Amino acid sequence: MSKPVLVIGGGVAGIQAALDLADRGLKVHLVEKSPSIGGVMAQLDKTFPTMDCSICILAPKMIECSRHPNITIHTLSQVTGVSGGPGDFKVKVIKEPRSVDESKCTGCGICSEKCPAKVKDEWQEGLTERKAIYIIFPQAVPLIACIDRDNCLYFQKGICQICSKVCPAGAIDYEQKAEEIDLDVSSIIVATGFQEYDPSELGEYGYGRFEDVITAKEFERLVCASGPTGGHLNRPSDGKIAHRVAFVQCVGSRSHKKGYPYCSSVCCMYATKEAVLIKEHEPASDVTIFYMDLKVFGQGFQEFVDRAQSHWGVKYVRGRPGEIRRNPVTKDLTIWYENTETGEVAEKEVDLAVLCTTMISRPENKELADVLGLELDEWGFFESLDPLMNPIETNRPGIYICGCCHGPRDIPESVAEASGTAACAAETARRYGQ
Amino acid sequence: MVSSKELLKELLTDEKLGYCQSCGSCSASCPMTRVIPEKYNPRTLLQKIHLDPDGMSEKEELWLCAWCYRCTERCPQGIQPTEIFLLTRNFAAEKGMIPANPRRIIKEIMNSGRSMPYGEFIDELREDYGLPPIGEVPAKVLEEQRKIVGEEFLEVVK
Ligand SMILES: Cc1cc2nc3c(=O)[nH]c(=O)nc-3n(C[C@H](O)[C@H](O)[C@H](O)COP(=O)(O)OP(=O)(O)OC[C@H]3O[C@@H](n4cnc5c(N)ncnc54)[C@H](O)[C@@H]3O)c2cc1C
Ligand code: SF4
Ligand code: SF4
Repeated sequence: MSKPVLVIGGGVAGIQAALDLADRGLKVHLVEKSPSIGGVMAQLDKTFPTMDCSICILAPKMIECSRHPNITIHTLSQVTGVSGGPGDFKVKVIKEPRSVDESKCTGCGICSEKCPAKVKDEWQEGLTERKAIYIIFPQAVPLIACIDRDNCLYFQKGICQICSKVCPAGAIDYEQKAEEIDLDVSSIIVATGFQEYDPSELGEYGYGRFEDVITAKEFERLVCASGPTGGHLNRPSDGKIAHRVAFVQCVGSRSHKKGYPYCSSVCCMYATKEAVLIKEHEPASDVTIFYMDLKVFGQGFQEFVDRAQSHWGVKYVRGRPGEIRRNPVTKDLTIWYENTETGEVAEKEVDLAVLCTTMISRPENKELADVLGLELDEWGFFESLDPLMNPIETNRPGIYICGCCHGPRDIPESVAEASGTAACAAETARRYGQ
Repeated sequence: MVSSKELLKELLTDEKLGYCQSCGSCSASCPMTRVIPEKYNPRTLLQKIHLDPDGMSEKEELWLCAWCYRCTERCPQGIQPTEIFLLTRNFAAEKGMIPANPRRIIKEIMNSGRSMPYGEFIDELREDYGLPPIGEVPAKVLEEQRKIVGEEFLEVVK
């Protein structure tokens, strides 16, 4: 029998690669750093270009991963060592303790309900709070609670232990230790994704100072029915419904000074999507997208933008705003901009400003690249063997890359690449298997 | 010494001003554009300078920048509009082409040591805030200033 394949990162790209391989009859180890697979797609409300509900498309795939007899999911896990070569990689994985027995927890959530320790909910982009023992999101796979030891009263102060008293399954295990797992695999697929640029350094836009200046990813949670406001556009500062919204494009992208010089490739489309979502909620809303150039190159993308304009009345203004100011009394924001097509310099008052920030590489890529012996490009993304003809292969035979871990791209492209890496991995397994 | 023209040439190369995306961050940040949008726009001024740095010497527009550096601070491409405007000005001044208004201000500075005419009302204002009067700029200081500026320049603004 062929050896299994290792997939690192359980976002949509990693999930797709794992399912493709598993359906071909190959065993897969899916290693995910966070408590659940799903990645960023699980956080999105709807997705361009089809306007499907993101989690409705992803959740069945996540569940398929957990049910598939050929896939083993390792959450809270990271790869710490790799040796050998194609057909025979020896891999070390460290699994952080969940402090909850995976075989006993039923995902009922009573522990979180009773836990007294509240912290910022990163999965909800900090727009609300969660407990120290939590299930990262309702559709999490695996649907198992997890203790965040840094914020747990028992781990920090030696008190409480309420969760273990209320858990009906007796699943809480404070003694759990980190586990080391050894894997023997034929090839490796890297799908560790991206993170968002932090726009605080662009002081003129007031992110971090003004609560109603938010990032596009935060907006996805705000507009989502499973988000902190139940999908109502209550702006963070005072809960007022945001009817006047501005999107600012290229925040941290296409910049040779602060930020990054590359184009983030998906923001023009997701901003259009988010603008349409506002219009779907309230057609009378006043929504403006401030852009430098509309880079909508995919199939059906231009039509999507045209429709946002003609059918939904989304306004597009060519001009990168100079600054955002806030009225301290009303909390309303004023955007200063030049419409560079007409030369008119003007201000626009809005309730909410959404910064479309660039996708950047994960800082942990550096460590992972060292472990895997891979090259990173100057921005910290994994480097292709050849960006033209071998985009998903790497400098190390038997290790493949897909999705946003090697640069910004949308879901269709991430998924197509994932299937490509699965085909490469299957071929490697065949060639080296007995 | 590097002349204004050489420095300017450097700032106007493809690797510098060539990166301008005409995004409008500069014009949307400029306090002068806010006050006189029909007369002044750093984004379009940069385009004009790029196309014809020499031809700009006679243009009044060149002298409207308040030198606040907001555009330079915010330009995503690291272009230095403020520096470019100053150098283009220097270049124009080297040729003796200074419009009437800036010329008047320069003369005021050379004669009184201040860009604004000094009058008793200023001292009265200062008194309201509990500040001492400033009085005239001492002759010695004026002398020093003329030395720093140089006789050549004084000839130009005459
Ligand atoms: C605001 C916003 C809106 C968007 N809207 C759309 C849209 O409407 N349509 C569309 O097509 N695209 C959209 N995108 C793009 C889309 O999110 C990405 O294309 C997609 O999420 C990429 O998937 P991925 O699997 O490569 O990465 P990710 O989703 O980032 O997943 C990577 C996974 O790997 C895990 N991981 C990271 N490092 C490690 C490690 N060292 N070890 C183990 N695991 C690790 C992470 O925890 C994560 O689960 C949007 C993006 C943003 C920011
Ligand atoms: S801000 Fe910079 S890139 Fe944008 S128009 Fe002005 S000079 Fe050009
Ligand atoms: S430095 Fe000059 S051009 Fe730039 S913003 Fe200030 S006044 Fe405007």
